[in-house]
Amino acid sequence: MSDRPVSASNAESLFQLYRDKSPEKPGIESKRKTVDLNGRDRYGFKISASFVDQEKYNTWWDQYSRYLIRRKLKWVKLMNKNGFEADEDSMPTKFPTRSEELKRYVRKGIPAEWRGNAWFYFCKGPERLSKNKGLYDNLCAKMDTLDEVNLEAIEKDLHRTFPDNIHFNDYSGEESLMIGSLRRVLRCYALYNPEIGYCQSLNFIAGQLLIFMDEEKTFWMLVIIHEKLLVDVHTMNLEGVSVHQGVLLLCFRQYLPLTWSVMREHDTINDDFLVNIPSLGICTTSWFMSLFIGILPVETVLRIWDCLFYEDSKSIFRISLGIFKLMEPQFVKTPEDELYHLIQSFPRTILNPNDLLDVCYRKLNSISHLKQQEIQLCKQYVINYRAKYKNLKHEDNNLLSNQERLKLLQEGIQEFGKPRVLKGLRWNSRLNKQIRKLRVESEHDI
Amino acid sequence: MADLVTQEPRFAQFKLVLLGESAVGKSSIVHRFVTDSFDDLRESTIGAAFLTQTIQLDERTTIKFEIWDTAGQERYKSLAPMYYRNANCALVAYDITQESSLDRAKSWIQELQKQASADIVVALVGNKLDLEAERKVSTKEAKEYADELGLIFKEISAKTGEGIKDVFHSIASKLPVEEKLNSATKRRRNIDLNRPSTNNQESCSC
Repeated sequence: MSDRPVSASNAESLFQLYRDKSPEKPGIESKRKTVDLNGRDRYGFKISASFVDQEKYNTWWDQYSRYLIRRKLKWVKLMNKNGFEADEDSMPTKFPTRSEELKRYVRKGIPAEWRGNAWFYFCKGPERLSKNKGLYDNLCAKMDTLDEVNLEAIEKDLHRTFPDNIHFNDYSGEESLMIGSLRRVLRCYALYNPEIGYCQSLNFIAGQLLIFMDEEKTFWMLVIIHEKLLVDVHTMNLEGVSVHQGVLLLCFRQYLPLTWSVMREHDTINDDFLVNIPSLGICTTSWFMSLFIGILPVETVLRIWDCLFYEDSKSIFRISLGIFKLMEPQFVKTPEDELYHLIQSFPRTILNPNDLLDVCYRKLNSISHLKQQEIQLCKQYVINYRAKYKNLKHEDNNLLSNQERLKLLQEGIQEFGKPRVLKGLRWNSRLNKQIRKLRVESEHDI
Repeated sequence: MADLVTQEPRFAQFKLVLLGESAVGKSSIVHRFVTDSFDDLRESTIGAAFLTQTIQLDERTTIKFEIWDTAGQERYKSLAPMYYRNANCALVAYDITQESSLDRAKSWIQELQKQASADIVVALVGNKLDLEAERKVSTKEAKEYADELGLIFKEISAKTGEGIKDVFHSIASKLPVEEKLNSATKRRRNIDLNRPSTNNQESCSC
């Protein structure tokens, strides 16, 4: 059996806005005092390490913590209304069935102390866990058999994961419990999914999950995240990263025409943007790879995760569009050589999660019309496009016969004429010309 | 007249990409260069981070580096073309206490020679010079390799700051400043043409 120690995570005590169950309803003031503002947020992150100064943070937190208390009370009422026994101090493991109302609640934020359970529940984690009892412990037992390359890569990153968080680095000089958990989760996941193994950025995703749930649940969350949200993103060739960037660019074209036109004008995007992801993609790559960790302030990332785990992969795109929507007024007047700096620094200023989520989900906003089906079709399109273009580009590619190549080309051309869900989805003229040219050549060959 | 023109201050901007194996200290090098600080606790880089720093090359020439600091894990290599596209210079780092990191640096250099622009200025740097006692890569071995390929070579320490300024200076002095100035002037003119329209919008209150 594994020698897995007691979980390092204890959500209950970590983020309680309420200290004790007081006989009478405690006033907001007394509740807020229990938050340790001694240079750290309630998740143990150093505030000075975040992207805003302490004073600004405190001003925001003063307001936002009131909001959190209001939301928590509403959640308790929602739970009770749906027949779940819950009060301010309980730690529910089951939540109401999915509904428009619940979705609204999730988008307004899950109480921090319920997050671990709620994320796991909404992702259907309990089912996975009960169907695979003992799997994690078995993996733990043989985790040292992981190949050298992955072992080394994990080891290099353990102490470079949230070194500013008290749970990861308690300055005792000893390795924290959390690092131990992180090591096991990453090794087990690498064993479980050899196609991914260990990829840098998984350390942050797993690390943040560990703040909210035990390591076995974190392991299953990693499994689910890669099935549901980040398909192929962390694989060996990182093809999914490029595909997602392609889809995002098409979304810009459709939903943020002004931003798109500036991108085009600045020549940051060429016609072959789906095949050769433009430099702009360097900035947004990490948004997908780490699910916004390190990109946005902690609280904002957590609110986004609430939505991601309740909903599906379209949320990643909506959020990305939302960030650009908020940035648009600055974006359009920023000179080309400062754009990358803006894209990197602007998200760090989104301290109030509601600013971002409003843009993403407000009915009147076009971004809120982005549907999952659209993303799926768009993604398939980008995948096919990239695959075809790559095949055509490598003329010495012997894997395809001439007939097969011709068929592929014809499919490409036929597809070109079809109406698409996203207006942006069509072969661009330059590539189309190239394809026609290649087609003539291959007809010639036959 | 010609003299007057040549005395004008010059400003040129170059893209630098920082490559090398994971945990050799790429981010620390760039932070030492940009903020002159060192942090023992640095997070691993996801994707790539963007930083800028200007240096005074000579009395009248200012160089601005646009630095792309990249993630070091092997698999990120597939994204690398995105990083080094249009790069004017590259700093390829290894860790003098890790033999394998020099091999990795060499493979980056090969890739740059094959894929990046032909005139890219490349510097090979051995980091963690402060850990001399744990050295595994001899200066001679790395220097010979760099000399053979005509690369800039330096051993540095991001922790103590030793050699950092030098290496960026060496890179800057090899960059085609004149060429860049000419193209930049053209570009600035274009931008200037566009500028008034946005300004007018803001200032117009009618």
